[in-house]
Amino acid sequence: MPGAEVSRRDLLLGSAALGTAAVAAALTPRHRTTGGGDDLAGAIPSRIGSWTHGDAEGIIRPPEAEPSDSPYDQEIARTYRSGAALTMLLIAYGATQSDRLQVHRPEFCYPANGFSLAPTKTLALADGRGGAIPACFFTAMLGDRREHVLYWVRIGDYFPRNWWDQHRALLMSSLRGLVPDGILVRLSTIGADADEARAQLIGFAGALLRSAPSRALLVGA
Amino acid sequence: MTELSIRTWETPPATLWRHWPLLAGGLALAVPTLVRLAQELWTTEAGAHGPIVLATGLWLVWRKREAARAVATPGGGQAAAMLGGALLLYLFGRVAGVLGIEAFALYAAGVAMLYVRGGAAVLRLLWFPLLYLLFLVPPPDLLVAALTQPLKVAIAAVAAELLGAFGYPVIHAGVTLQVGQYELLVAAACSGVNSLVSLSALGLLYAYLLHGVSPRYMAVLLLFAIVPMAVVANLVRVLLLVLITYHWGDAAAQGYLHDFAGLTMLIVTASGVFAADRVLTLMRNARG
Repeated sequence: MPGAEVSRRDLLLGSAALGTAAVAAALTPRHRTTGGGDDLAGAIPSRIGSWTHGDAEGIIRPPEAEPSDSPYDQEIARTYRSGAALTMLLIAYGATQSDRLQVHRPEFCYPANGFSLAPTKTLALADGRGGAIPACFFTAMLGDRREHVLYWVRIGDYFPRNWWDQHRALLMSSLRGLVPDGILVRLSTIGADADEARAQLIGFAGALLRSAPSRALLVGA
Repeated sequence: MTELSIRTWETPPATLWRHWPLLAGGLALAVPTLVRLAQELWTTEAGAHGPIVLATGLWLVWRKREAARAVATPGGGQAAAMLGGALLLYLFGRVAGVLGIEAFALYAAGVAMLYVRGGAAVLRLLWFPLLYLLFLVPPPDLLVAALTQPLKVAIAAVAAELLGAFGYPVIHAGVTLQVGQYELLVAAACSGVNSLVSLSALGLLYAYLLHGVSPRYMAVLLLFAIVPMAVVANLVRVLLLVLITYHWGDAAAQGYLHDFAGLTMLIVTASGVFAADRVLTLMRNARG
């Protein structure tokens, strides 16, 4: 029987593995950025400009598989009315971001509910402080229903416009040693005219960012 | 070496203890990743096969240790390079927080370690356990969504047609099924499609244990039996869900969904795979 001495190869391999594990532990981001999303519902007012808060009927959500699957720590869904106009607001906030806790994009959520989508356009949305953030706009159609959607995603300090950007934002945050928080703000309205809808939603977004006490949460510091 | 060999029974601890540096290093890498996998994946329907695959996969490797030792030759520079690459990828996955990359890199590092210590011959010998252990690595979300979304919608449509043919008032609209006065969200009912991977893993294990190593047969079984059966099982699940909702209401359907849906899928798929396996084996034997 071979002796009980430990092979040199084993030691080499073991050290390499141990070393990697140690470096990984040292580099793993630990500092969690929280944008104050502890009370999301309280942070979004019931009156936004000329809009008042109604119920949450008819708001498209990601089809839920299992409750435990929900990556969102908090979610609010509300309809706001101003005269005859209706805006649906969906905000989802995740205080912990990892690969599996990705903020879900509406481009997946709507098709999952059976909608077909017109191409997404990017636009610069005024952020209420004199700057602008990248936001996305598209039209979703299901039968007679034409829903126009304006949304943005903030992950840490970044505003990823698509899946690639999202992963890059997570990576950059990680390399800076931060575990970023993430928020998805989605505004939508139903109507026949896309341009009209877009103007309405941009107006609502402006009013939201001017009135919300938690602007930092929505568009970063 | 004489043919007469007295086989001393080495207890697992004794064998493992000799390689303790490998074990220590391996555990240092594996434990954090496995913990994250357990927390985020193994409790979901899509990832429930995780612990089973891990346990049975390691057991399959362990079974072959004598045969592996017999053909082991140290791997060369290629093996070392592979290990280096895998460790770097692991580091990247950990730091970036991407569990899929982290898990895959851990798997690659494990394979690379076997390569370094045992050479290509050992990898060839252990091809099935190694391939099987790949089921532990979560596939990219995007890929899964792209593959399962059309399938979910198709299953819903078929279910609506079938039930309609039997006179049930079922309407399929987009991703909802209207049955009587209830509206069912198809995606929730069809989330069983996520268990396609689980069922494939278990089906392959079954085939391996029953028939031994045969790549072609496994491919055949997978394509023509396991995957179709899993889809059929999901269809059955949706049909049952709709029927229960129609006859006994929403609450009963929710109860079914949480308690028995998974079981239904497993039973239907397992029965289907057993049956398909028998038929395919008969066909193979008939061909000689």
